[in-house]
Amino acid sequence: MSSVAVRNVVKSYGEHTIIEDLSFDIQDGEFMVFVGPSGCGKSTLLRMIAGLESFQRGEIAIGSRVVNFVPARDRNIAMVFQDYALYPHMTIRNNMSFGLKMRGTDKAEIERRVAQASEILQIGHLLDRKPRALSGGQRQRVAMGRAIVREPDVFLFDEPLSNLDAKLRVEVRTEIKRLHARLKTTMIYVTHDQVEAMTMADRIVVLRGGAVEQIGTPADLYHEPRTRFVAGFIGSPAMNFLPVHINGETATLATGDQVQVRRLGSSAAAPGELGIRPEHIGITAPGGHGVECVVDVVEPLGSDTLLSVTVGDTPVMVRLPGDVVPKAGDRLQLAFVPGKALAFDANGARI
Amino acid sequence: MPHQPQTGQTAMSVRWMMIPAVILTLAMVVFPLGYAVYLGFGGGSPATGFGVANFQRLAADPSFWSALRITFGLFLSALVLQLVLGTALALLLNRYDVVRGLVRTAILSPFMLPPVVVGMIAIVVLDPGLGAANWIVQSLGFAPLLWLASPNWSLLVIALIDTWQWTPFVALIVLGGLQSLPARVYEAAEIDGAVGFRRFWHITLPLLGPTLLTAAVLRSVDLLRFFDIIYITTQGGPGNSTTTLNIYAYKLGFDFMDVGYAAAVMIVLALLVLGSVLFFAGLRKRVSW
Amino acid sequence: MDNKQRTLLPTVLFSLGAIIFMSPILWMALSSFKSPLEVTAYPPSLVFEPTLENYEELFGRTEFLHYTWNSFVVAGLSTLLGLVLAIPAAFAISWHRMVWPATVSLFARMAPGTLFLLPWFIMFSNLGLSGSYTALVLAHAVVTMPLALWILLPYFDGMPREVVESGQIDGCRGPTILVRLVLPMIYPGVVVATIMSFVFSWNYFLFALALSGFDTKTAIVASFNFIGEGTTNWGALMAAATVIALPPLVLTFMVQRWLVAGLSFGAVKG
Repeated sequence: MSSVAVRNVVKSYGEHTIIEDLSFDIQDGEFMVFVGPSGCGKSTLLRMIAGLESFQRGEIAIGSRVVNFVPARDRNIAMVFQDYALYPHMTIRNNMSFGLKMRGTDKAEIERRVAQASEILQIGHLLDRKPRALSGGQRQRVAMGRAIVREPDVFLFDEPLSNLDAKLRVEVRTEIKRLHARLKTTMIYVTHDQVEAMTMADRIVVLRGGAVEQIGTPADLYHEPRTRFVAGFIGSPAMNFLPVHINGETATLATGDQVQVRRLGSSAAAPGELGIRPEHIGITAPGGHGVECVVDVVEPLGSDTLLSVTVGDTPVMVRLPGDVVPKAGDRLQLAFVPGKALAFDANGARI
Repeated sequence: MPHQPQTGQTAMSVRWMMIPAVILTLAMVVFPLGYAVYLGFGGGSPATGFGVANFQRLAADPSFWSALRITFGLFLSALVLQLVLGTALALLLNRYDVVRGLVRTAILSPFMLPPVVVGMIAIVVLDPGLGAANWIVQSLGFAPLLWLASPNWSLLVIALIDTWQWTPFVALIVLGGLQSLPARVYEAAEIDGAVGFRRFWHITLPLLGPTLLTAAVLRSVDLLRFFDIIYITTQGGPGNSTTTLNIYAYKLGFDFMDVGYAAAVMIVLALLVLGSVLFFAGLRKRVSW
Repeated sequence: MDNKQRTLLPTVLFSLGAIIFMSPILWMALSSFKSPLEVTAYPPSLVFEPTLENYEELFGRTEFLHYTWNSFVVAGLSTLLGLVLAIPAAFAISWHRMVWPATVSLFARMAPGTLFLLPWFIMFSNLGLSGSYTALVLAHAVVTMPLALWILLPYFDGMPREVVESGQIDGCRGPTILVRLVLPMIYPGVVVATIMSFVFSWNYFLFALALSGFDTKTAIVASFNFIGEGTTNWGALMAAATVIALPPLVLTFMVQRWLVAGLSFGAVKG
């Protein structure tokens, strides 16, 4: 088990910068998720920690050891790849034991670890098959088994669920969390799916264009996003943004309605944006006064009802309890939950 | 009765478009093959009558057994040389990515040359008296060699000529195989600590198994039927040292007009080729992944 | 796997290796321009005054020009015949997803050529076709047709079936669809198949050796006869070799990208 430190790391291909001056620490035993849209550098960052990619400046440390010049095989990490990268010509047993054999681990120990890992993952009956005879979900387990037997300091996962169907994805997600609870080893997990990130992580690094946008717990990111990007990326359906004029704690909408916003500080009156999550919008009791909107589309999901509405010219998503089902074309009065409306300046920073 | 579309069949049938090709195959391949078998079993020959006489004669014919040994010797030596050298060359080409310009020309030229031309070059270059090869050998301080005129070495020289001509072909096939190997697997191997020779031995070589098998099948079929270069250079000599089954059969049929017996030898050769292909097909299950 | 290393040094070393590797071919071309005295000089001369004597001898005093023409006729016509038969057959095989024709042609390709030769020899004698172009072209078509089939099949298989189906809906019949819709889409395959068929037919020795007559000898068989006549006129021999080697080498380089890409090339060698 080990902590991981990334300090002032820079990576570029020629003129093109992939990672710009990144720094953060991962605690021993923590489950850290890198999340961001494709091309944000999250996989590259993981592969740099693994030792599969070089970088120009800065340092990466695993435990107390700086590993910049340590080859992948000597970093004592294990990695689960997106397409699993099982050795196609080896049986499952050999796939799992190969890394240990290469390290000269003795046979009895290898057998013990393979038996243990296959029990944890319930793949004991697959040991003598080859990867091509396995389903996607089974291959995924084997890839995890191959990582587990190594008893590494750090587990690295590179979008391990993206080749699975939706139902299996949820199952394996839970399984990886259970595994983390059991092994208590540091895990670093890359995904583009914010739901995966929120459900699994102790902490999340949100990356955008090779830079850290925000680091925090799932709750932090949800309740206290530092930028409009994070606010929009985390949460589903995504946060609504409405153009407003901000003056103190009051935001004035284009329609002239005034709404209270929660501010981080104070600044001169200026145009900006108001951010509010669909679940933090309700409708007033009949006859009450709120922000007027017109319902465009109604999506009754059973547990919830999702509404696409228009406030002035701006489309807004609203999540209502499942028993409230308005009709398209209805005019409703919206009420924003107090303390949940956030303010962003013209550059997308939270203010 | 309403028309029911049958599942798994397309409405438009263009099977008839195969007819011309089938006719050529029947006339020029199937019928001659049948006729050759008929001849081999003594058909049309009053001397032997219909039966296995030709095959009995073959079993007792020392020339046949000698040709069989020589065929196998050439087959095995050239096949091993070409697979080993071709794989080594492919690994180099893959590492340095130089299959362009001059290198590409050098790779493609030899196996596109007519074998007859290769034989003609061999005659001139390997001449024991005036050839350039002996000049190089002597410049390096060794005694001149007899090359194709040596009864002991002629078969090996033939194998080396074929190796010169076909190693680049094997290398191209292996290179294609190498380039289609999954890159992620190599990253997994890197993390698992397999580098250098261990990576080659545990990962690359087993993954190349099917590709090497393909190359082996293609070369085997040619090597067992080896004809052109021998016929041009040594005509099976000196002595019988390069008389392969194919050369032997040709001479029997066209020089000695011993048609039935020649057909019998050719049938054995054809079965040998078929056997080797089936042997490799059997291996395919074991090396596939 | 490895990071590709593109540096000057390997390129130079490999190019040097390539030249050494090709030295026999270069030697052939060089020797064809040497005078009779120089071509048998020992130690061999690397610097000499080039002369066309050998080519004058070859084309002036022998029928080699005629034999070269024969080679073109036989290779050209057998390529044409092979393609005319293989294209519709490949279309049908691919459209109906048939497996057995590929297997059959594979077995045909494996059989030793000598096995066909005796029956052909007898067949053509009885038909009065001994030594005729017809006999040679038919024999060489046994090489070119399966070769073209093997090259073309992946192209046909790679073509979207919807194109053929929309052709049907637009009211075309099979042959029209093949000629008007399919062939324009797969013409690169047809080009490759044509060139490879021509090269393989041009290079083929055994059938012409046994089946050609005095007048229909191909250049390859004729130059073999030069050797048989005991002439040690190496200059003329190398000139003949150079002439024979030229068309396959030139044509090969027209399709070298395809060859190096190696797409299913493994399966096409005849």
